[in-house]
Amino acid sequence: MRDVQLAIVGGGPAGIAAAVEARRAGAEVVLIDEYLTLGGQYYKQVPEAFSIDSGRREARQYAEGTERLQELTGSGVELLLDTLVWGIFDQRTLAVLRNDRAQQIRGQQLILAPGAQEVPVAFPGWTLPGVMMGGAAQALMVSQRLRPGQKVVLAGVGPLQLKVASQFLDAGGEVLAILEASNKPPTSMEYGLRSLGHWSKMREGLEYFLKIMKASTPYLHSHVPVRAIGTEELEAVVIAEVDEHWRVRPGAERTIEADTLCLSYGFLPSTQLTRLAGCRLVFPEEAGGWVTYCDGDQRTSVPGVYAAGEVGGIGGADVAEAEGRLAALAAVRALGIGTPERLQDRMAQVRKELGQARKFADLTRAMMAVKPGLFDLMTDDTIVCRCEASTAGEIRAAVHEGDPTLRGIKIRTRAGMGRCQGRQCGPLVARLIAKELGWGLEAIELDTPRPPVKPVPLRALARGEL
Amino acid sequence: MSIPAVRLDINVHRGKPVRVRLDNEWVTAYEGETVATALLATGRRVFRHTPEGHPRGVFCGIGLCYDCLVTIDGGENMRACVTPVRDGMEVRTRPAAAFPEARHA
Repeated sequence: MRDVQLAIVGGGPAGIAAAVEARRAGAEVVLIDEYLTLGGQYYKQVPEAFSIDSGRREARQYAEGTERLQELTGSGVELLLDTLVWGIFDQRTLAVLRNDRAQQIRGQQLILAPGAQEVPVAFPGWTLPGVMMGGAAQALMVSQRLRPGQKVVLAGVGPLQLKVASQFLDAGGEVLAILEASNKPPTSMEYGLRSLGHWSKMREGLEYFLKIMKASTPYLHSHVPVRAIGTEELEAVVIAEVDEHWRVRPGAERTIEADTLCLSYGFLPSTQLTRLAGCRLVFPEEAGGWVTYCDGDQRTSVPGVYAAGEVGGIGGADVAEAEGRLAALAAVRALGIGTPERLQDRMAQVRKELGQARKFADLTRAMMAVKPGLFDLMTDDTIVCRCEASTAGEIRAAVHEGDPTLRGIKIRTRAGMGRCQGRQCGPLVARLIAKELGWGLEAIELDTPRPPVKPVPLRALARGEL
Repeated sequence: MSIPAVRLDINVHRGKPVRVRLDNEWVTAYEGETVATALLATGRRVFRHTPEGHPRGVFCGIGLCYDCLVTIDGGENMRACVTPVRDGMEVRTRPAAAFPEARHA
């Protein structure tokens, strides 16, 4: 068992900002991340063995990430990479998997910043190789420097797709179409006006949009993929127009031959660890989903445990960083380190930054709101639980058999029992329950998380110190 | 028909080359690359078949979905997208015939 003053879980924007802030204030800080390199998804970098040509300018986001990491490495924070937090037990004790052994780390204070995952959207054929999340394409292009496909269709909602499209074009790919589900794309007048004031974001968005225009990429509003076709891999995507509720309009479908389809329908907080720690979740209307409850100091409902970043609500990197700093300062104060007045001043400063950042987050959240019609794309034959092959038809039937909860559906259909532990199917099962019974999503509680939150080899437990 | 993914050459120097065995074929990959990258770069996108016979490959790309599972140095069900290659590594994708049993409803 290792005891530390402050343990931070998650090395993305929130975790990094928290670590630097807490260290600067004088705390002993350990930052833990499951990947081999820090940055989370937003600041994803190339692997250690790669190097970047300093002669050419990297994308702004990439360069910002490099800067943040340089600041972190110089700060004296202890970094535990390739270290999976698979459980949280009493007294803020983290169960981790490191070097193939289970170990424990107990923090006097704990900051949980595990981030988010992408929203799964299912339709016939979505499991074919070649259909992937937008984040997968980005991870491959940005970090591995591999373009995953040649003829690409993008489908999603909001401004992130413009970036993915731009990245594919820069990498020499052909973007055959961008399907924007909303009838009010980010390029619309309304969002254009609301973006005024967020100049650097506007400039970035415009950059992507111009690139797409130059390539004559079809940008189709009110369109979704309805079917992915192929025997062993994706060969074509069938698309259709939707109404303002994102329900498919009967009539013309179109088929586009493509080898890659990227889905970017937004993000969901990864609340497995916060729930495991006993933190309460709440369902704010504007979030449209369950988020970890945090007070004004980023404290969760569990004493000594803070949450920062996407796990408390999707807000983007600027919000995540400000929340990380706030959580760090609150934790430092709770540890009795530093001067209260100085901490208070710094907290006030960070709160101002957070307020500003939240304004832009509100705008992107509006642009990325998902409408329920999207989840009617699941036909009865569509696989919903990718791990266990449970279909939408089986789940719909199970809803009417009784106990229409994620757990009840899991027991009857195996949806959620596989290796991903419900990460991909849980949100879809919730949508199916909601649709079948006419309930709001807020009426559907999340399943009880149990350790390990990701599969851990038995030998690691046998050889470990628990 | 496999569409090869393409290694990008702008602005990056990869790690040193390593030899990796993909389903009985030795290929060159680079230190720092994941097994998924090594497979995709040779045009292999079907990493496995489920017990029901459905082809699967990279989906989430960040180690959450457990779809990109391959056998690495004898260890089964390893996520290709988060496992870095090593010189001499043996990777096996899982063919459809590996599961004679049917899934019970």
